[in-house]
Order: sequence, then C-alpha cells, then structure tokens
Amino acid sequence: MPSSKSEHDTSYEVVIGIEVHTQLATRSKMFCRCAVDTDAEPNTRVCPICLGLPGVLPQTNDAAITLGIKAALALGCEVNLESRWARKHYFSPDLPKGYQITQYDYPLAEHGELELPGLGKKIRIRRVHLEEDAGKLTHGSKETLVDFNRCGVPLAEIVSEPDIRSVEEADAYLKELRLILKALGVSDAEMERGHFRCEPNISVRPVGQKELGVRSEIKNLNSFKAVREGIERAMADQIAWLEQGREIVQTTYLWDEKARELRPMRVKETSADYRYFPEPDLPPLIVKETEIEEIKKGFTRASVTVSQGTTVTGSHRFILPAEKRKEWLDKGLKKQYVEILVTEPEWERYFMQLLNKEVSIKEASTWLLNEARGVMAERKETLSQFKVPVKEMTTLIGLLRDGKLTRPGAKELLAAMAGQGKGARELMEEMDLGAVSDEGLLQEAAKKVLAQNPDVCQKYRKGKTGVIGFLVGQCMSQMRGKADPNAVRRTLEKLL
Amino acid sequence: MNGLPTIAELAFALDQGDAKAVEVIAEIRKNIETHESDVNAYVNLYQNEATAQAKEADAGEYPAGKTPDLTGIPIAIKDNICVRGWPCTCASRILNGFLSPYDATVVKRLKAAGAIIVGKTNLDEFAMGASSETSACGPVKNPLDMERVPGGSSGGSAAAVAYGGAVAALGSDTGGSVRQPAAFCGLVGFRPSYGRISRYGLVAFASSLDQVGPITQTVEDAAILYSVIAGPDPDDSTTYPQEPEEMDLTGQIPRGTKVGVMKECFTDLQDRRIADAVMRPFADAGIELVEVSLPLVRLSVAAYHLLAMSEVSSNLARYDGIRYGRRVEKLGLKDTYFTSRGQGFGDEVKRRILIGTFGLSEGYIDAYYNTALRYRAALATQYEAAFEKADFLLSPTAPTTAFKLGERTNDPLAMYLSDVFTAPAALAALPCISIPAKDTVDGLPAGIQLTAPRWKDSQLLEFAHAVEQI
Ligand SMILES: [Zn+2]
Repeated sequence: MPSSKSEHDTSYEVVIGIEVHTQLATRSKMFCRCAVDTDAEPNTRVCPICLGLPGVLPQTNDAAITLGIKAALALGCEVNLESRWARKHYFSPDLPKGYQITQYDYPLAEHGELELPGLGKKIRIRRVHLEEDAGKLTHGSKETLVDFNRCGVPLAEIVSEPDIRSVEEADAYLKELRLILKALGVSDAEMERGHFRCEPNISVRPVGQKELGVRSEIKNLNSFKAVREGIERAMADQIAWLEQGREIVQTTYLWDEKARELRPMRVKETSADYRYFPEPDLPPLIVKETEIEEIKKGFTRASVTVSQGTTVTGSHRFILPAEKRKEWLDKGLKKQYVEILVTEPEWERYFMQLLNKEVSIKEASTWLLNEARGVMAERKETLSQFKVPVKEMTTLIGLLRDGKLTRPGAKELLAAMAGQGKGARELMEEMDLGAVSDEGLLQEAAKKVLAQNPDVCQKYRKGKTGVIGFLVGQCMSQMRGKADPNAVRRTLEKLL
Repeated sequence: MNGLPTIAELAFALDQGDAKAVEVIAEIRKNIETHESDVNAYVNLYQNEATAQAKEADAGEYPAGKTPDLTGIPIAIKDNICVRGWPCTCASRILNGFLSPYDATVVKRLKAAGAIIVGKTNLDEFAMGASSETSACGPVKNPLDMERVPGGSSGGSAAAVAYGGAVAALGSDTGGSVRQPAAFCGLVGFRPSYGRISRYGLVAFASSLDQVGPITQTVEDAAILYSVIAGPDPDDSTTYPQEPEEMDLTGQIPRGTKVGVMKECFTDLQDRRIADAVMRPFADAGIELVEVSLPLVRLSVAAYHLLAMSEVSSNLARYDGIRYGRRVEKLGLKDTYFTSRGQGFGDEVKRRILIGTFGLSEGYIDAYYNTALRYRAALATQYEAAFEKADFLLSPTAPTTAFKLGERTNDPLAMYLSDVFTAPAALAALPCISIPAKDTVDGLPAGIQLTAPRWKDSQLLEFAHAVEQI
C-alpha cells in the first residue's frame, strides 16, 4: 500500500520513522549494581544511586554496553569508538535525579540499516544509543504511587530514518527488529511487558511532494496490533485534516488501548526543553576496536550445523534472522516452515533436537511443523503444553520410516499421543495401529481383492496400470489402513 | 594557634603515650563550649560518640610508624559530605530530615584510618557562597575577628579548626571554597587535582569542578589527610586511576625551582599590602621568580559561574520533596514541587538555579554554557604555556582579607568576585594550595596560593611545605 487515495482523488504518501526503546537483558541496572527485576515487590530493587540520593555518582554497566554494541552491529551500524553521556532534564516523580542519563550529541552507534524480510526494502537506522529507564507510576483515585525498581534499568534506543512508507513496512520493520534483538539475547523484547516500546512518528504528503508533512508521534503502543491501528488512525486523521485544509500541528499522542483512540498529550509549542548537557559524572564511553571484533566473532554465519549435531543456540553464538532464513531455504525447507523456525525459538529448539536425533529435515518439518502443529492448533495448545516429547516424536518418525506404521496410522497415533501423553510404542500396540508387514496376510488380502474385482484386473492386464491405485485402496481398507501401501502395491503387482 | 596539636604532633604523642585521645577530645569540647555559640561553625556535633571513640582508641594500640594512620585524631567534616546514619543538611532547609544511608568514600577512608569525626560543619547553602552567610543554619563567624566572615563555602570547617573545635577538617572546593576560607582564617587549604579524590558522597554542587580538600593547621597535616583520602575509587568514574605519588616533606626547595608570578592577579590587586605579604617569603628565600601572563584569568569568574550554575540547575533538580527531605504537601504535583522547592531553597541557591537553567536553555546554551566550555579549554592551554616557564604559579588566594559580615550579602557580584583568584585553577582542574603568609594585613591573615601542573599534587605539597618553613 504505497499510497492512500482520498475522495478528492489526491494520492497521499505516508512517511514513518520509528523510535524503539528496548530493555537490555542485563542482570543489573545501567548505572548501579541493583538487580533488574521489575516484578519484585515495589521499591525493593533500589539503592542510593538509582534513588538519586544526595552525593551519589553513576557507574556504567559493561554488560549493557556490550549488548548495545551487539544490537548496533546486528543493525549494520558504525560503532563510535568514543561516545558520550548526557543529561536530559525534566521533572517527574518517577525520575529521581530530575534528569535521565542518556546519549545525545555522540551516540553509541550510527548509520545502520535493516532489510525488511520478504519486501526486500532496506530501512536506514539513524542511531543506537544507551540510556536509563525511569520508575513506574501507579495512579490511584487519591494518590499516585511510585515504584523505583525499574528506575535505572538499561535501555537501548534505536531510531530509524523516516524511510517507512506503509503500515505493512512499519509492521515488518518492528517484527524483524524485535526478532534480531531476541535472537542476539540483547533483549527479551516482550512488548506487553514494556521491553520493546515503539514510538512511530507519522506524516503524510501528497504523492510527488518533496517536503515532509508535519509529524504526529505516538506513544504507549503495547502490541503490534496497536502499532498498526495507531499509525492507521494518525494517517487517516492527517489526510482528513489536509483535505479540510486544516493546519496540522506537531503533536505527541498517547494510544488509548481501551478506546483504541489517539489522545493528544503534547503539542510542539509547549514541548519540553530538555536542556541536554554533557554528564559530568561519567567520562566519555570508549569502545576499543578489539572489543568490537570480539563481539563480531560471536556472530556466526551459516552455522545451522545439522551434520555435527550441534544446536544453534550455543553459549555465545548468534545468528541473525536474515542469515538463518537463507540457511534454511538453501537446505530446501519451505518458506512457511522457515518462518516458524526463525520467529519461534521454542519451535526451532524442538526442531533442532529432532535433527540431532538423526531425523531428516524433511521428516522433522512434516511431522513437527506440519502435523504436530496442526494437532496443537486443533487442541488449542502451545508447544510448551504439547504432551509429546522429542524422544517420543523421534520414535514415531522412526516407526513410520521402518514401515512399522503407516502414514494414516502415524497421524492417528500422534493425535492420540498428544491427547494421552503416552509413549509411541505403547500406544501403537494399545490401539493396534501397527502396520501389517506379514507377507502371508498381505497375500491373503490381495488375493481376496483381486477375486472381488475381476474387471479391474482385466483393465490392468490390458495396460491400464493406473487402476492399481484403486486395488491398493481396496486392500488398505480391507486391512483397516494398517498396511504399508508400497508393500501392498508390490504384492498386487506380483499377483497380477 | 588554636591550642590544639597538629595531626602530626598528635599522632606522634599518641604513639609515644604522651597524649590521650580522650584528653584531646575534652580539650575540643571545652573550646566548643567557649566558642561555638558565637562562631556557629558546626551544624551537628557528635561529642558523645567522639568521646566513646576516643576511649576505644586509647584502650587499643596506636599502630606506631604505620602511615597514614589517624587513630584517635579528631576531624570535622563539612556538612555536604555524607556520613552514614547522620543528617547531611548542606545547610539547606530542603534536606530537612534527611539521613544519609551511606558513607562518602572520603569518610569511609577516614574511618578506616581510625579518625574520630567530631561533627559536621556549617557552610553556605549547598556550598554556594564565599562567606558562609547563606547557610539556613545561620552565618559562621571568623574566630579571628567575630565581625568578619570566615570565608566560604567551607567557612564552618575553617572556623572550627581556627578556634580549636577540631584538629583538622575536610571541606569542598568548587571555585575556591577550601582555599579562600583557609586564607581568611590563617590556615592551610588544599584543593587537589580534579580526579585525585573521590566525589562519591560529596553532595554535588558543580560536578565538573567539585573536589574534596583538607583544611589544616600545617601543610604536613594537609599531606597526611590527602594521603588517606586520595586515590582511585570505583564508585567515582571521574577519579584518576593511579595512586598519588609518594611524598617526602624535607622542607628543602630543590635547586632551580622556578615560581611563576601570575601577572594579572597581582596587577589587579587593589591592596598592595596583600601582594607584599604574599611575595615576601619568596624574596626572603631567594627563590627564582619569573613573571607569567595568563590574560584569560580575568574572565574566570564569569566562566566559572556560568559552568557552575548550569550544573547547579541540573544537580539540584533531585530535591523535589518526593523521596526525602522537606516536602510541602499541596494539592497536585506541580504545586507540591513549587512550594517544596520554593520554601526549601534559599535565595542564593534559587538565583543560581534560575541563571543556570537559563544558561542551558535551547537557544542560549551556545552563548553561555558552550562558550564557557570553550573558555575552559583555552584557559588550560594558557596554564600549560605558563608551566613551560615555571614549576609552580604564585598568586594571592583572595583579593582581600576576611571582609565584614553582611558587607557583600546584597551584592552578589562583589561576592562572586571573591573567587577571582581561586576559580582559574579549579576550571583548569589543577592542584592548588593556600598557605598563610607570615605577615598579616591589619592583623588579618592573607593567603599565598600556589598552583602546580595537573597530577603534581605531591610535588606541590612538598614545595608548599618548604615555603611554609621560610
Ligand atoms: Zn540501584
């Protein structure tokens, strides 16, 4: 959807840039040694530093810096060997120092890009910088409570250039970005928990116009759905205002999740002057080239090492989603299966475990990504609720491979295993699903079918060999599906 | 002078068994009883704790020869440096009721060395002033002349040592707050290189300028305190990673030592008697003097205040009455902020917050804050050039001797100009010491200020010690 058409027949183009604040997956906070644990009892993960008591000074957390660099490298940014800390001032009860320590003129990294999967388009990344989070306010009817546990939690802010031209692109950008951050262990990136906060800025302009329109910014978007709706809303509003000839004022909106509406929060005239200035309590952030190289070594290219039986989630090996995608496609996996493996780590883990047990990619994709996924969908289960462990799934696939089980039998067995949580062999016997491989029984059934269908036999002998399918089907139903169709076919051919 | 031994003397006497810590504490107690109600040097006293600690020290062993050791030595701490479990008022109403849950690094180191902390000393509110008159706890008086100010902002620390309320004290120096009160009270005040002493636990005034420094009776005592509290600190990322160099206080001036006489400071000095008093020991000892010119020194007060006030507007934003200190509850957040801060801060602090906020505002930051930053870099370059010609630089510590109480309280500009000779070294992050001149001016002490290249703290102390002996 590159443009939207109005009733006046003017085509509009939307221009979107997105700021993402992602919570870095460190154990301790950005500038003190408090644990990061935002679920703990309020105000139990605090110290003089993150409470901003008189006289305290910040100390940077190396782990957070490393994660920031990792994210920046994954986004193809140039990491600045010297970046600086700055103070951003505003008054709020959840901001103990009256300023946030962030990076301003000299960010950690700049000039990256992210390719939108499937769309082939690249979105430029303007900058990646580090900062600390604020506390959390809970508004009651009479009073407001402050929890400082989140205060000082490390964040990376990732700012795109205004290269995004549609809701679909925005959606793809955010999903891919989140995937990268998760894949690298940079962030848990759980949106509903506020680990991945998206703040798009949106403007529209008539197609062909060079200058950008006036921006609307949206905060408090806590799901991909909200992001899409929010952007659509802002676009629609702006187009309507342009149509009406109204002047658009730069405004920051809050997304009202319940009403699914945009609520104006701040217009530009009254926007805050943050009085940024260099943080005197911290020296410049110096990153050594060797450190960057060391982190780069952690990025592994093409190492879905099926043959050696190692998993992809090694201790310090990271594969970017784009590389992983290519890797699987090259191995002949279907696109829709690749997407499952790239976007759903728990499925990837299960899949890799199957491969480690000498199950082929083809078998694993058929029985896990297709059949088992179907069973789970029917049962409305997630993978973690699925009652078939890797070992039993391997057994089931093995039974099928060895002809002990027919395809229909295997399907029936899988559904039963998912329901009862019993072992494959045990249940197969219990349900009497074992494939009949006894030559005598096969012969007996085949002879019976041939005798019942002399006319079909006639056709076959006259050269219409295609009719054998019908005979195989008859045999299969005779044997209640428990025979290997190939074996049946061979037996029939012999007799005919 | 104050009737008390110096740190060095007391440590020796305690080692020898010629003195007892309880006796010194009793002496101090007596001095406090006599002078404190008039001088107002202390915000809070902990005499019972001090006596108990002294008894404990006397009962234990004085680890002879182990330096640096301060076992049994009574020290006063400026009340903008945090001591665990005690209030830290910064002489401001806004910190009413606040108890520090932690020790500043310097306090931790003093305690570890066995020092007895006698009390927390009075200061200009949040250390903003040059006379110790802006304190919410009332002004401090100069024990040498009760009609005069002791200087500021560490006026309480200087006054306490001057009247015998402590053997030595810690102050803090942002633009001269250790050196100038030391000069006004006839004491030694040492501001080390920025980064030598941890600022962790020193309540921030202007972070890029603040340094803790000792106020003592002798240079030797300053050196002792310095060696206890200086050195890298993981809690302060701006500390210099290397330990200070060893010192050897021989009292000898190395041959060929050249002292640069800071031309602009002496030219601008109105009172020639101060110049004479400052110059005399160097002439007497025949030390080689060279004239050095640092024209930028003349702009230092303007630049210093722009930078310091900008940082003040940021550093003091945390005092909002939400988490600690004084809250004036009003309907709504904004009114609570306004009233808590409005009533909590004194006029001088408010003036600096307002000017600093303006100096950092969009559209003004280049004209003010950034210009001052550029000035700061240029000044450092002029110092470097001066140190090509001389080993140490000489100036008076202040343009006047102690002035009268109330004389400058209604003239902020005159008050700011008290920093004219002390601000430059602070801006250039250089080590700088004030020692009393032997000659007084109308009976009041004048300070000799010596500045050294950055990180040459030990050499500066050695030299100042030698000059002190002249
Ligand atoms: Zn903390």
